[in-house]
Amino acid sequence: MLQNVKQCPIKLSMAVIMSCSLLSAQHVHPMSSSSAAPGLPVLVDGSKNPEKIPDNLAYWHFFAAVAAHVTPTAKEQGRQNAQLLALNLSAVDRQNFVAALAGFRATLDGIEATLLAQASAAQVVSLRQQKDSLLSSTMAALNSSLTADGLAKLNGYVTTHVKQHIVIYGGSTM
Amino acid sequence: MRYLRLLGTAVTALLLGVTPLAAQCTPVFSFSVYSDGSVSADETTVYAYTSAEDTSTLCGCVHSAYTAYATVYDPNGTWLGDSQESGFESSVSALTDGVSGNYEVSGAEIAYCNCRQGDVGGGGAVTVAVSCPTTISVAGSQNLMLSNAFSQGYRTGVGNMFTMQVGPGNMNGAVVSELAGASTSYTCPVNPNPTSFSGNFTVGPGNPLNASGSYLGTLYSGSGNNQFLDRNSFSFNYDFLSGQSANYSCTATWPHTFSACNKTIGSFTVTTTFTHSSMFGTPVTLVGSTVQ
Repeated sequence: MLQNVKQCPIKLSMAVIMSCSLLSAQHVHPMSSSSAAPGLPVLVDGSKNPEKIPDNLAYWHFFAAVAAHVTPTAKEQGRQNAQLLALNLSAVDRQNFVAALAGFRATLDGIEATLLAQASAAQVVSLRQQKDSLLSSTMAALNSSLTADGLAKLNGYVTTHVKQHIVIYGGSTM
Repeated sequence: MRYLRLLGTAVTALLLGVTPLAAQCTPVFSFSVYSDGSVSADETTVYAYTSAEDTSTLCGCVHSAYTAYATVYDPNGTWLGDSQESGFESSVSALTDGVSGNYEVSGAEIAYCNCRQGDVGGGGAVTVAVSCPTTISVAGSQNLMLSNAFSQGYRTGVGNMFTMQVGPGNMNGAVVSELAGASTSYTCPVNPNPTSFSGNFTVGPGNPLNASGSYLGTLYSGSGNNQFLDRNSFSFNYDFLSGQSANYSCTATWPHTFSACNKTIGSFTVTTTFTHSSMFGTPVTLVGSTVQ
């Protein structure tokens, strides 16, 4: 049972990134210690100012984290089952939610594969537009397939929980 | 004059050259990371997961080598597992193996920026509470009587509602799994329980299934903190011991094993006694159970 998920008092970026750097050393990651990722300036810390996390961004992150393939692996299935416990959706809403996210996953895989393959600047712009469209179409699908109760539960979870676990970095030039 | 014209041409050329520079794209970072964790319904598995999004204004910069990370540590700070996946999402799972406490799950995203000539990234960590009972005992038993079910047509029944107590400490919300095996031995003419059964129980008064209620007409009390209700019953609309003499009785036993977080926490033997009797002039079979 999901319970008591709390914000860790650790101040996010550096501790985790350093942790990742250490892990990379242990698991033969190509990133050298000298090029360990520097922490970017925190623009919005969702644990402090969840209201400053845009809805679309929160939904995007949640869908990307939860979505599994149409035929999920055991690992995907287990993860998704655990993730969905907190939403407490009815069986029908749950089924429709999972189906909508399976479509999301399939499209997202294609977009991300192109992004990871050294997309050109023009492609990046196009892919971002595709992401926006994907989010819109997924939201539309959910609006038509979930009950009012299911939509309320989803919105409540994304607004009150997911946003608190998002950090936006930026504000400085590259 | 000629020099002035040349100078004017040069200034114009410079201005024409500067104007595009002034309108040039300014690259700006915009990078977000969602890091979270969950635990499976039976509290055997903890999951860490992350998703990232890069909406930076890239201009001529290129972001590449996106790598997402997820890591799980147990309540003692021991590393249980991690994943690093090329792309924008990563997840990892780890077995709780009976260890209660706050698991730390973390996620991060790192990418290479050619303009900074280095990696950039961010992430976060949260704790996921896991409750793993390690002890279990029988705290009480309430009879579920056939006399209350007779009017509903039942002629065999019914059994007992057991109150099970788990520990140590506060275990409300924890999940206990039960495997009730098929009867290992029986003296009845036929095996009353030829198949096994398994199910999960959520501990504590927060679970509506642990509240007071009624079963086949018999009212029973709810269980309290760190407890759950476990019903052992038989209810048939026929006389199970039909043809046997009055007061004939037989027994059946079968093992019940309880586990939490993938660890066995207790094993019991349930003995059910079936007694042939009559009720309102109708032959019936009374059922009662004990747990050892």
